[in-house]
Amino acid sequence: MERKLTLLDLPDVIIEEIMSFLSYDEVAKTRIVCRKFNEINQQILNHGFYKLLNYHQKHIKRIKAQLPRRESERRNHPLSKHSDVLTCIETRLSMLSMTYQKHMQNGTACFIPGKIIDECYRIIRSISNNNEQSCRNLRAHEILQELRDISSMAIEHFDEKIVPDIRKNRISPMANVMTVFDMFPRVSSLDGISFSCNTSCSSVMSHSTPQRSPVASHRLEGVKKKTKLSTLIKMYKKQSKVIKNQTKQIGKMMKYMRDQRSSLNSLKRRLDESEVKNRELSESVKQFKIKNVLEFFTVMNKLPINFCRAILFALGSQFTAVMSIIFIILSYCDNWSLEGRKLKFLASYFSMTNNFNLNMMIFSTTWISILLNYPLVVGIILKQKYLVLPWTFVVLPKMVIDATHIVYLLTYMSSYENITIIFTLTCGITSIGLNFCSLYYIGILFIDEYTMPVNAVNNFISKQPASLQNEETAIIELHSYN
Amino acid sequence: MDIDRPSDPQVSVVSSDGTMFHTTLKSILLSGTIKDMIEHIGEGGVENMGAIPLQNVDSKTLEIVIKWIEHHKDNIQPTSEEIKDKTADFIDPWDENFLEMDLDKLYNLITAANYLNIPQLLWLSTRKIAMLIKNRTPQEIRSLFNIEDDWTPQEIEAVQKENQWCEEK
Repeated sequence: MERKLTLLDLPDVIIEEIMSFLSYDEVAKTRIVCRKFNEINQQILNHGFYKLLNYHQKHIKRIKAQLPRRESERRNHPLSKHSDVLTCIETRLSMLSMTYQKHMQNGTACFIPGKIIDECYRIIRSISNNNEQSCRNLRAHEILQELRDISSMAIEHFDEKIVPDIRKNRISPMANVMTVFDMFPRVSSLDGISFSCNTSCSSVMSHSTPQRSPVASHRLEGVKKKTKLSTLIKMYKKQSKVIKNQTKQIGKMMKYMRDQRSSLNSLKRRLDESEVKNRELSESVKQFKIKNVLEFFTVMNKLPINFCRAILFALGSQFTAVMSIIFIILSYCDNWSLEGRKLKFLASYFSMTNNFNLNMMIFSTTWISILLNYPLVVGIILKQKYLVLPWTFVVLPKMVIDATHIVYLLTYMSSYENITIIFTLTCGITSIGLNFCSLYYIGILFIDEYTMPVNAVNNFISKQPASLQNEETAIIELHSYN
Repeated sequence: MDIDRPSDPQVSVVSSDGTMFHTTLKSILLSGTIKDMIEHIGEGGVENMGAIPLQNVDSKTLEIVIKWIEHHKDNIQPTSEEIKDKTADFIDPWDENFLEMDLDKLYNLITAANYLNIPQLLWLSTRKIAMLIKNRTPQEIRSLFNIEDDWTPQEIEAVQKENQWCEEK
């Protein structure tokens, strides 16, 4: 008996041919009829979408070729709205492609919204059939409204409802695989491989051989090994945790060390810089000192004697220092002929006190001590540098201070009754190396004037003539008094 | 090669069940398959070739096909490419009446038209089926075409869910 032919017995090509008379929306809706319909209609929908893309692409190319290249001219062109509509469709199609194409290629879904394909064809055909005038009056918004609505609906629905199901379906076969693996004892690491092999072999053996005792022993062994393995795995997990923590700590320490190293480097750099600065500063200070001393001496040497005198008096009680400065100045002087004047000035300085006899005594003692004890004075008088310089640089600074202080102490200790003893001592000290400034102190002690009488000094200065000639006359006067 | 002749010789075709049908060469050349065959034999071989065996077409179907080709032998038939661009809105009323047959015959006609490569007849017959499908629910389609619902409930639910995208709330 001849079997009756049904629709599903027709070749797929014929069914596709039949479906080609239906709209894509109808094709999508008839997917549900049966599996074969679903398969064929899915292909039709996918093919229809690609066909639409090509059709649209060709159409837009053709329209764009007719449009002028300048945008300003393009806006006024009759086909401008036509082009706008096609561009809008292109945007929608690309959005749909992004949503569906991946799943279409994977075979996980087809282009479900067949209605969109119909709508796109409808729009393209309607704008293609319009004449120039109607193209100008084309209302793009109205034409595209439906497409916009349905395309966004389709995309939203697919993303929200269909994609999660597809993902779930992808995971479920994996879950099946997992269940298959779960049938075997869970193993990890290399040791587990041998164990799984053993167990699988034993299971195979159990199926192939009728003997039960070796199988039971294998099972026992397997159980033992399994427990051993589980403890090992636990230990391994613990160890890996510890290692992880330690690795973290090491990382932290490394980071800390890196920071410390960088800060040390920066400190080192700063130290080097400061050292260089310090060296430069000390160099400059040294140079500045030398320069200052030299300048001071030069200035002092150039100053008139009266001004020098004023400075020396201003320095007041620190007489010893003043004297040393004077001698230093003297030592630096190139023109030794000046020294005569300076000595005269010193003499006049000592003559300012009221007690003439004492003054004279001090003056004469000073001169004697100078002449006897200091080759400096001799050197000055004889204008011999070799006598002056060693004394100035080596002997003077030390001796002046020491001797002065000794005398100073002695004068304190002494009383007016023991003048002779003190004088003798002083003379003795001076003979050892005391200078005239110490003697001056003694003189001051004897005349009950502990410090320099300022009024007397002022009087003396006022009395003194400004010129050197006057100073000379003052010395002559002193001599005459003597 | 020009095969058409002013005399229009007779050609015999034999169905799968051995029934012989006689028709004119002009009519039978509407079939792309037979046309290719005759072109292959050559101009002189047509008169001497005898009956053409059509193993895939039964006598009932072949009879319908011959009826159709004889009616349309003078019409210019569109090619397969031309058929694709053809709109399905309007067809010849004769064809409309001609295709008023049961589905079984229609399926056979479609199969024969496909085998004999008669694009216009194939187009008409498939269109007829499509028109039957159009505006029917899946259940109606199943019952009309005697199609078994081979979906599982989960599968049918999934397809329904997919088609819910354009449902208004």
